[in-house]
Amino acid sequence: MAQLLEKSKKVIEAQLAGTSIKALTGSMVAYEGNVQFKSAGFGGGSGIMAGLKQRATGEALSLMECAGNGRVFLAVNGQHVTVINLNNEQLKVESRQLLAMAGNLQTNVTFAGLRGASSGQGLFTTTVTGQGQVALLSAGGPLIHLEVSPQYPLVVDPDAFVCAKGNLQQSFITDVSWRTAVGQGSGEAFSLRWEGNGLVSIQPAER
Amino acid sequence: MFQKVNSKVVKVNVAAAGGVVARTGAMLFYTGDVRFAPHQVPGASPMGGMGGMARMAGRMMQGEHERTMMAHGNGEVHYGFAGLEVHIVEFAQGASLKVEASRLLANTAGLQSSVVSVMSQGGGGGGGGLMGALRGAATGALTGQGMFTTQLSGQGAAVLLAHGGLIELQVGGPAPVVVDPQAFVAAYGNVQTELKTAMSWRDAVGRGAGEAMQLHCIGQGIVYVQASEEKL
Repeated sequence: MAQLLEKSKKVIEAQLAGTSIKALTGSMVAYEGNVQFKSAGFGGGSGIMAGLKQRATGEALSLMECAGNGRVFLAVNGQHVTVINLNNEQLKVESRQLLAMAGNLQTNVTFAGLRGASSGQGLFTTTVTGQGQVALLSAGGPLIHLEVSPQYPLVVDPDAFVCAKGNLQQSFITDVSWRTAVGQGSGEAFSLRWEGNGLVSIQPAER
Repeated sequence: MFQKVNSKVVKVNVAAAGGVVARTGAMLFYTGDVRFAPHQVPGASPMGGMGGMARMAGRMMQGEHERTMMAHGNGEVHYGFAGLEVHIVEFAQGASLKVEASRLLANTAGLQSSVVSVMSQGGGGGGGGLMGALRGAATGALTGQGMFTTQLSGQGAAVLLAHGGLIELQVGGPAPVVVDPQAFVAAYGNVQTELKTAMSWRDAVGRGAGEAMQLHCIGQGIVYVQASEEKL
């Protein structure tokens, strides 16, 4: 199986030995050895349906497949990178923060409820399931992992949300009042609330 | 000679370094008695009685030249630029460094600086003559890297700029090293770079992997790559 490593704070190294990984289109900065790159379609799976799904949902995730022998270095815009291991788990991830995937993983676009109706985040979210490794991007600094337990629900800004893992329920909080309507809102009109057991990761910057 | 203050600032003792050439506007502050004067690479100089072709060539090369200033005197100068990460390269005897002018923050004045054509780096890159020149121009247009690159050689040290930090890749192993032209910062040692296209019909129909242009590095040395594809 192909391995993903953190080569530096901002660069992912993928080790290929006749194996392949999927990575964000155009994210390769260098490679060593004999590696081929080709478009691997979109996050919604593969095939024509996936393409249609992407158009329909706006979850823009364009991936390429890197296959061969050698090392591939991936980086985007000097953003910090983190590798997360998945062991037959499901990871909900903001599609723009997904850098690479290795192993036996499936991506899908699922309906996430009405949360994104007016936050501009879309009504859909990308999920990654299976066994393997996922490399994530975080702007502004390393990812911040926040634990969620039944006594302590967590509320995050949808613009800072990167991913969530575990047995979590997501709900959408609106704090719209007459103040928002007259332009005197606090700027935090929409929030994501997480309940249950799990880990939510955010980035120290808002998109 | 250069010393890192933090990941984005370097300091240098000007007297010990024998003068420092740095990008204009990159000086943050200095202590002691230091004087700054405009500095130009020989190739780009409009002075010196050069006329005709040489002058034209000089002007062409100005694309590959940032305005620089020379610091002389006694004291310590701090340099930094646009919040970009810095990396210090110490030259071994007789070594050379090829770097994009826009990614060079400073170098000691003892280093010889010249502007070299990308094609003349040999390795069968563009070939000679008119075809080579045309190919070089096309290469420059495609990557936005220009036809020329700055070469530093001699004894001293230089400071590179990178967005998102640098990684070093060893060239000369059994496996070839290939770099995205937009992420390429510099090559140290005896490294030839050659631009290749990995285009296929997929790119033509907009389904490419986004890695159509690739810079193949061959020879012996180190290639510096930044963690971003942002132009400086």
